[in-house]
Amino acid sequence: MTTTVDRPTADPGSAPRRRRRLSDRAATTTGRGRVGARLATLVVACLAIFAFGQSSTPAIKYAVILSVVYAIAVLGNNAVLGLLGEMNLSSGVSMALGAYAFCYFANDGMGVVAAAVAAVALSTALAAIVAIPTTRLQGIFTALATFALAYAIPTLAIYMKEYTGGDEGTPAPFDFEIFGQLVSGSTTGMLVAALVVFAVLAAASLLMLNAAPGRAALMVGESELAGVTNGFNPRVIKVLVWTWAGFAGAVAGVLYALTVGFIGPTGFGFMLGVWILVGGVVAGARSAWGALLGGLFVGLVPVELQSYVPAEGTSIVFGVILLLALLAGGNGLAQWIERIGLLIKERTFGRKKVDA
Amino acid sequence: MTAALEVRELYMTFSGVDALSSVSLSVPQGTWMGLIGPNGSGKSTMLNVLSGLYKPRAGAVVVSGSDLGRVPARSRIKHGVCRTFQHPQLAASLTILENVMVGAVRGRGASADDETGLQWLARLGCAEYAEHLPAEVPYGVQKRAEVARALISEPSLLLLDEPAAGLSARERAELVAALREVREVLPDLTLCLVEHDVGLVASVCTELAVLSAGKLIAHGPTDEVLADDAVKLAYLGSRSTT
Amino acid sequence: MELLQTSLILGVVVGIVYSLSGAGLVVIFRTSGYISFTQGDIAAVGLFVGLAAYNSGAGYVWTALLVIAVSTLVGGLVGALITVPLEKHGHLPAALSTIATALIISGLLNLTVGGDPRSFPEVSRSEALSILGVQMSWSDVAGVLVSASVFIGLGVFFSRSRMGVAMRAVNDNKLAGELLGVPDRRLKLVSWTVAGALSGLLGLFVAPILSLSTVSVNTLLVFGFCAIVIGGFDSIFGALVAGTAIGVMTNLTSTYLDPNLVPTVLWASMLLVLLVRPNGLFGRRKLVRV
Ligand SMILES: Nc1ncnc2c1ncn2[C@@H]1O[C@H](COP(=O)(O)OP(=O)(O)O)[C@@H](O)[C@H]1O
Ligand SMILES: [Mg+2]
Repeated sequence: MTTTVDRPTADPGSAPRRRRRLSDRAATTTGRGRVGARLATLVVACLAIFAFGQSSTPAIKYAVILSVVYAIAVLGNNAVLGLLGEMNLSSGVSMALGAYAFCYFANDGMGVVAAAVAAVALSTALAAIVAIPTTRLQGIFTALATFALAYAIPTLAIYMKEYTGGDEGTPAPFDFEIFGQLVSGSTTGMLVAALVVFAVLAAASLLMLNAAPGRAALMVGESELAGVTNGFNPRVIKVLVWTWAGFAGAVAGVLYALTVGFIGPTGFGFMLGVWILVGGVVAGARSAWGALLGGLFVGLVPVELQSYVPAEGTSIVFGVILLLALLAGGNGLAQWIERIGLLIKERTFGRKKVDA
Repeated sequence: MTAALEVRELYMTFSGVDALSSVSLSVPQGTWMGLIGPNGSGKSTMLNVLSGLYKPRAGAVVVSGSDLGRVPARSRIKHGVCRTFQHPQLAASLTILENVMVGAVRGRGASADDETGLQWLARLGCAEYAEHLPAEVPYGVQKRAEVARALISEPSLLLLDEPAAGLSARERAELVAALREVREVLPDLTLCLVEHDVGLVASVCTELAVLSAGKLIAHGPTDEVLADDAVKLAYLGSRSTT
Repeated sequence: MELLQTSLILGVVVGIVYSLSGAGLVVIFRTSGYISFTQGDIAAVGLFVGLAAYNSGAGYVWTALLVIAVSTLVGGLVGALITVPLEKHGHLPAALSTIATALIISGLLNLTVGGDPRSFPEVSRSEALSILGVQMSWSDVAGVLVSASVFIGLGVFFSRSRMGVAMRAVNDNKLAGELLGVPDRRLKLVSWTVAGALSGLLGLFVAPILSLSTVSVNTLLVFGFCAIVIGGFDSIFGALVAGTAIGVMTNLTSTYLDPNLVPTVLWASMLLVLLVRPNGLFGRRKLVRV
């Protein structure tokens, strides 16, 4: 039994080491590691969406742009779901905040960029404030508070009519241009802008997942007790993750306003938060590029479904897909795609040793 | 010299029942103390109070001279108190090495790098699992990874809650060897080891404290305590000590 | 003054009914440790079936019994076939599956009966009695009496019957239920069935007020959620007190401020309680066991 004690001299730590590396299987199940390959996948996915959007009819292109906008909200929500294992049904609320604040500031005479920055800053600050009491709830029970908030938003928007335009809603800027490209509605400029914003935020969350902030959030999310005894403050970490989700939602809200051109309370019903959550679950809460799949699920699938299923019945399809995703273990489509990729790789190159 | 750990008149109550009642003890620096007692006697509760997870109803916990009464659980690592859990608490998505390195982030060994983590894993005999996820490694490795995570925070007082529970005979032997290695490397470390297996405790600890129904019924050098009649009656009962 | 009395007294009346919604959620929470999002839709199935029977000539009593029977059955089936089996993947997937079920049921209802609000029969609008000058109909009186007796019944069940005690224990400790001789799975199925019955019963009193639609049933959920967060998750009594307080508060809000503010006030009061008492007004402070 003393063999184990004799080992320090043959310490592998003394050998020069490569960077820490997860085995392919571990990388697939946790969604971590292999940052380079994942960044490349992200870029390819964004280019594919761009090509798809460009080659579609204006109506479908519009749905694709909205999907990318939803994907940004899904991405933020996935941090709450995938890192903390908590349920957030208020991503639609963050979108509403961002969108309404943006339109208010822009209509008040601010430049579009300034209005966007101000709207996102304001919404992020509000998200942080609301997160403080919300994260007092344990785990999945955050769903209750966020559901109640999501339920309140449409009527609150009607009540605050001086700022929101009440029932009638409020127009968004429609003549915003970057590099001479019109960023509005279903223009190519709008598609590119949404994709670039998505890609930047997705890359940021991918990098964070594999760095100190991601590790701290995972520690607290997966084993809160050990997080506490190792010096982390779970409340602070949770509030930060929720604030990040609020930030992403607000960014999505600004882009939503630019795309739709007009916002009103019916655009932000409580089901929006449910769709965004479900999109994340179905696509995979740990995958940055998977958030795009989640966005397409929310924005494009209902449009495509309409030729097969009456509009009233789309939620059945969504419910069934969600159930199937849960039955399959709740890891999401992105992970299954990665697994299949891994399988193909192993078939072609042979199974490598885990830590070659 | 101030004691590494001093506990004065500690009381902890759960819905009217005293899980700890008037517990006082003092442990000099560098001492390895085993904390034993029958199931439900309050051993885990004691560790939970020492690590700050539970707030005692009354009494004081003093570590290296500073009173930790107002120090929240998350700040105790800065005071040199770190612990492991009866059921390993590792983040499932972090590798064993990453889990170990978590201990360095807020601990006193803030300068520790991956090399240090690997070194600790090697000393505890599980370096080959460094890149694996907790779910992929044997239970005994998970438990030793927790010990490594605690050690990398450079604690002055290490609290281990049943590190051998659920381990096979072989894994137990590996654990004992690992603990002996730790004592060699860190002679100043004070250890409080909660354990069911009296033989294991006796083989690594020089002092024993015995809890029974929340009361400290004996505390002293290992052999003396094991020979104590009250201890035999309360804890060991008819079972032999080895 | 008249207005104030009316909103206070009728607030208590609807509040007691709403707290039933919280009670149904607590029953599931106690055995399973998560919350169901599908209770409103379970009630809706029972209510639409009952409405169909009523429209083809069934009396009110038969309609009511049918509503409760159908909701009980649907509740039990959802628990048995979908949610409880999914617990093997963890609490989060199980809770998410209740969202999936809610989506499927509401989609099916939208396809079959449509989304337009329908009026739903009630016990009787005629005046039963008047308190402090506020008139109460037989429907109001029935709502209060039935809800109160359900609460007393639940209280007795949880504190006296073996199954009730096992239900309380099982969420703390898996073995507790088995030790009391009732298997874990059976407890969960019973709780889903009971919660289904409670939703149907609650629907009977709420549908006439809100009118019946696939959207309006979700109001029950919101009130129930707020009631249990404010009251404390594992407390039936807490749900009663919080539900009543919510009823009064929402009535005052819509009378004196603006009906559009009601959901926001609900949400804000929930957050306020969380800030001051993280475990709700009557929740036990739980220490994690390690
Ligand atoms: N979080 C808690 N809530 C209620 N009672 C507890 C809690 N933790 C421990 N106890 C009780 O305190 C007593 C001591 O438990 P514990 O310290 O876990 O014993 P040991 O670790 O010695 O087996 C037991 O009676 C146990 O039931
Ligand atoms: Mg114990």
